[in-house]
Amino acid sequence: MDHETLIRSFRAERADRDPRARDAAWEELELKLEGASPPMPSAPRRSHRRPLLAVTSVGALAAIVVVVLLSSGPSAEPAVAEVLHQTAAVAASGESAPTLQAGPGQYYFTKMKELEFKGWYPGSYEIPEGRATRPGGFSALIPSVSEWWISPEGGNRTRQRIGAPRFLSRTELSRWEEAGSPLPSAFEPARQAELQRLSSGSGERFLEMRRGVLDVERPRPKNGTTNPELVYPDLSGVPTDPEELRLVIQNHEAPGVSDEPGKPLGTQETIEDLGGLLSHPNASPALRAAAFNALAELPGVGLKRDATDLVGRTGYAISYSYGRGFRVELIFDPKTSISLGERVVLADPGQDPVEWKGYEAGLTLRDVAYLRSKVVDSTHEPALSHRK
Amino acid sequence: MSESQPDDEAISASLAEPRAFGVIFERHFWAIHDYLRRRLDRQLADELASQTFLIAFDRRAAFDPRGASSRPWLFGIATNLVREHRRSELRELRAMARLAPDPVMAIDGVESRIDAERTRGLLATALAELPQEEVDVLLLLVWADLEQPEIANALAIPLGTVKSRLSRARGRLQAALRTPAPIPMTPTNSTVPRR
Repeated sequence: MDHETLIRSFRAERADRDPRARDAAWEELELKLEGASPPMPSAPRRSHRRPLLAVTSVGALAAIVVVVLLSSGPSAEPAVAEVLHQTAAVAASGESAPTLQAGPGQYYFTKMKELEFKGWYPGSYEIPEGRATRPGGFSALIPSVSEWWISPEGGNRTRQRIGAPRFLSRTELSRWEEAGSPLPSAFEPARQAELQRLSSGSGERFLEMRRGVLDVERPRPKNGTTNPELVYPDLSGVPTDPEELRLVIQNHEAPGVSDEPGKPLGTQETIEDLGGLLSHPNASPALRAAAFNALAELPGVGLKRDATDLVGRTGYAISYSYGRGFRVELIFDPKTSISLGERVVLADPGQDPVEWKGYEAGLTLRDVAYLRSKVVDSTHEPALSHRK
Repeated sequence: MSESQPDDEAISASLAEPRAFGVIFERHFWAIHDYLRRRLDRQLADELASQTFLIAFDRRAAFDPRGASSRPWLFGIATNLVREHRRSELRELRAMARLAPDPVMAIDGVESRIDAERTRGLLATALAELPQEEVDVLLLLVWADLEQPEIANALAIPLGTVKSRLSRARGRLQAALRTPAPIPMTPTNSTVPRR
């Protein structure tokens, strides 16, 4: 046997193929491809004010108090208004952000990349966009990739994969490592098994449970209801005149968007709901144009002309203040009107010195890039679009 | 994306539509991973295989389409990444040279276990002793199955340099494999009966 033949055989047994290595590599690459691709039409956005499209497998959502400021000031700055009106014109054409409409048996598929600052207590609950203040808790930025399949008839699948927590100090990292590196409960196998046991009989199917990954499919409710936490509202009856749109939102008359009873919404909440509308894949071009035009007339909207989202795509951001010292930035691609992402920033820790003692202004509490949204025929399409 | 789309067309298409690059990953991931896994430990191989495609995507505008297949280009990127981890590669090879016998390694199904283990140790030692640039050329030839012009393309070196490095590597290898094993055989090793 010659030497090259010997080397050809040398270590051949090591070339075993673990599909997990390939899947992990593909997911990394896919994020890069998505980030470099022209944005796909629309994506869902989480409301801070109510649990629409909020996915929480375990634990409680932190109550984020929104200070209601009634609209009374001047309209948006001229530069902001101009940019928003221009984007409205792009949206109205419907060419670059066509409406997606899932038919019977179909699903809205959405993929997002997120980086969220959160607190968690191992084996117990977590605090989204907040921190753990009691002993035994941890607080860090958690990267994740989420995929949602949402049926208009109810039923959904959510798959989330989280990465290693990014602690703000070495001390915190060391403390976490000494504690055995516990992840938020939903991503720890022991707690996942408990979740599965608790949900027995509910019809939920746990498709994948392992450290860092949770993939759950929930059947369509038999009583004809939909999961209130994960739904795209029927927007067909929402007015497409900007002023009418603003009024129905402020007066809780927009079905599925703003229809909860209560006193008229303030400016920040109205901005939030209009921003939410822009992220619904089933919003028509006319409705999206109306939402941009309505935003252009509201006070308190800031503009950042050169904004970059979590995966590096560029556009502009409109911003508004909410709660006790937070700022929300909504990032749009001006060429397509598509919503690229959303960022929540701790703008003024001094407004809540107890909660945010020791934290610097500018801390990103949540950074989301909407990567893809499309209509698919099943909850198994297209988890990994190149997977056979 | 078409399964039959040539690599150069897919890479060209990915300049306007980045998702078209997915076919390159589909087609070559395991080849790159297998190569890296044979050179490095599992964790590094997984990491570098992933990095290879991320880097390739970033540099796709510079891909020279004349070769049609992107294999040499990808193996070139992977090999450059391995160089940054040469110490890790050497550590593993030297550890393997010292190791007690593993289970039977079949070489054409005829060698004895003793010979196989002895050869394995000698090969590990020989590869650890080869200069970096020679081992790269040799392993691209025998593990990545690249032709000599493809190796030149992968490493961005003249074909003549490939030939000379290969020739030197073969010479060193021949000499090393003629030499008695540098590691004394253990009692366990020496008492294994021949088949």
